[in-house]
Amino acid sequence: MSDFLGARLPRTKLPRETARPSAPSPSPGSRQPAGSPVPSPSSLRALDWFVFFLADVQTGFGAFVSVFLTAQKWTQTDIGLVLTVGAIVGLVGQIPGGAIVDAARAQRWVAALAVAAIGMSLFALALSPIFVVVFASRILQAGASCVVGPAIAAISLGLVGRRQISVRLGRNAAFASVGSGLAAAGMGVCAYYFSDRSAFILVASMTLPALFSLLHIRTQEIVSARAHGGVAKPEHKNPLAGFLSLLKIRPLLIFAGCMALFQLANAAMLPLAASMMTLHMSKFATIFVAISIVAPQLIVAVCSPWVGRKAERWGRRPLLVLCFVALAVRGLLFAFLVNPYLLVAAQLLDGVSGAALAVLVPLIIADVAGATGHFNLAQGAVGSAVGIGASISTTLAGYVSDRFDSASAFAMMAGFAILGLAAASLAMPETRPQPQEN
Amino acid sequence: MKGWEAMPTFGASAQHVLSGLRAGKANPVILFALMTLAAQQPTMATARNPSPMPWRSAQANPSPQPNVAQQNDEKTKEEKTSVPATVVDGEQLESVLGIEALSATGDDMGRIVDIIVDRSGQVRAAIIDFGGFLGVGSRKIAVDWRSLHFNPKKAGAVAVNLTKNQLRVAPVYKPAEPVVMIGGPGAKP
Repeated sequence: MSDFLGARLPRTKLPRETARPSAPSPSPGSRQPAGSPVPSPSSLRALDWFVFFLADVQTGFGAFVSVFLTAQKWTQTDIGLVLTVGAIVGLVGQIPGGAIVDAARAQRWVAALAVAAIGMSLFALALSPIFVVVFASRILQAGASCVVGPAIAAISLGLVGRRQISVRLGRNAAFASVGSGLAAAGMGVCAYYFSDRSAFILVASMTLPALFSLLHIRTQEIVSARAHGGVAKPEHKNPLAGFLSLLKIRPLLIFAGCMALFQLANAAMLPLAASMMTLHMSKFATIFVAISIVAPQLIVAVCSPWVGRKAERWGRRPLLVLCFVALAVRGLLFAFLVNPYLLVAAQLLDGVSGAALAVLVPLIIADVAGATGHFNLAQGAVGSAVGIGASISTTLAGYVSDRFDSASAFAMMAGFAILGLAAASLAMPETRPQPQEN
Repeated sequence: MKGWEAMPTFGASAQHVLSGLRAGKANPVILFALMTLAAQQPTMATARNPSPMPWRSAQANPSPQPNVAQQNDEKTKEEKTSVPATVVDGEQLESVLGIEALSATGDDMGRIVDIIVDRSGQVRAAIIDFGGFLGVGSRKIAVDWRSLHFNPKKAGAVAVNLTKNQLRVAPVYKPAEPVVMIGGPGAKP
């Protein structure tokens, strides 16, 4: 369910919080080059909405694609092929995608191109669901997503700099999760009252406001050096040499391992739990599955700004530990709960982990790899670990629930979460940079 | 045997096609395609089986291949005069892949995503993708073909002789594993 996870921030507090990052960023403690521009509130607000609308569009490429293609008389074999190829491209493209964003000096245009590609893929999928078009659109979307993810983090970092990034990532996460939650609900309504196709058109048309918002982020405020983690030029020009240098950063490797374990435990949990709801609930199963998709997004929206602030005050590690505790508890609850309605309640813990990770992933990567100038390449590398964990999770959980039962599968996933918890609390160092002042 | 009502539709259309083929009522385009196919058959057979099949070589016939070709040629000549093809009103036939399954009370039961047949080619069950939201949490259930009722007046949907509750508790269909087909004769909704 990584399509529904993933994102960023709240609307009500918007003017107040946008003002905050801008004010203290030129503080003497920051290592930014002198005279670096302060992000204007309008650029920050534009980033909010860009993240929001992009999450809408990306939700269109969720599990609903297979329902739509089935209704278009696609065979299960072809659907499986298209989804698998998309997943492989999305996995293999992570590291090159990061390298592209690292190499680019104009992150905004890179992001604009990628968003336009994703939007066009979704329109093509909706309007002409024939094999060649769908195949190409899935590959294009998967490739473009590998670029746009790191690009958002790079633009955020370029706008606000290292000192404010945790708060900014919290806002990003809240906006993105509200975006994907609303998009999922909107698609459900469209598919129910109108047609499957209209659901795709609805979210695909969100490409336009996404691009519009993106163009309102002022380029001159995105400091390229900041966007690359605070250094003007990367240590290694060759991405391969850069990648090899990343492999020597031990905390980055441990963190990538933690993320692989997280997804190994997490990715199959929602689909399997939703399948259990379909099995055990005689009434309203669809509504409850919908709630278990949308509600965690709302929790992410509420919690992630808080996570962003606490990541600065408490440090990253306690929040990473919290994220794994929530995941392990969710797995255990799914394994032992009998009442299907309580499954929905347990699923709310997904929002806790989601909020923590949406902030922590780019933040910890910026902490440990920012100074190398390969911030985006490092994001791609961690993204690969996430993708590998997620794809193994689905297969493994499916196998265990077939051979034994779903409770065993959930217990196994809880076991992975506990392994991740051990790694996060024992092996992972605190990565928060030491305060410059005091 | 109420469930068998669905079968005549299938059987009848197949018979219709066959009888049409014999009677020689045919769309010229289909006719031409069939003739081309028939004419190509000998060459295709030779290309795919460069050496005679073992059971053929065991026969007394010294040169089986030319003979096969000859037979096919004769067939082709025959078919030129009476060509097998049928024209059926498009509204009489329907593709079943992706159509909606509805319960007797009109509840949405999901979509038909596959059809399974036995080794003799007899249709045994439809695989219905049941439940979930936006594709999350759905379950693929094998429903006995005899539980499906096609309404001649309503295209794009099929009525299933089962309730939602009967469908949701059924075991999930997995290829290459024992298939539990729910419904069939004697099923009571």
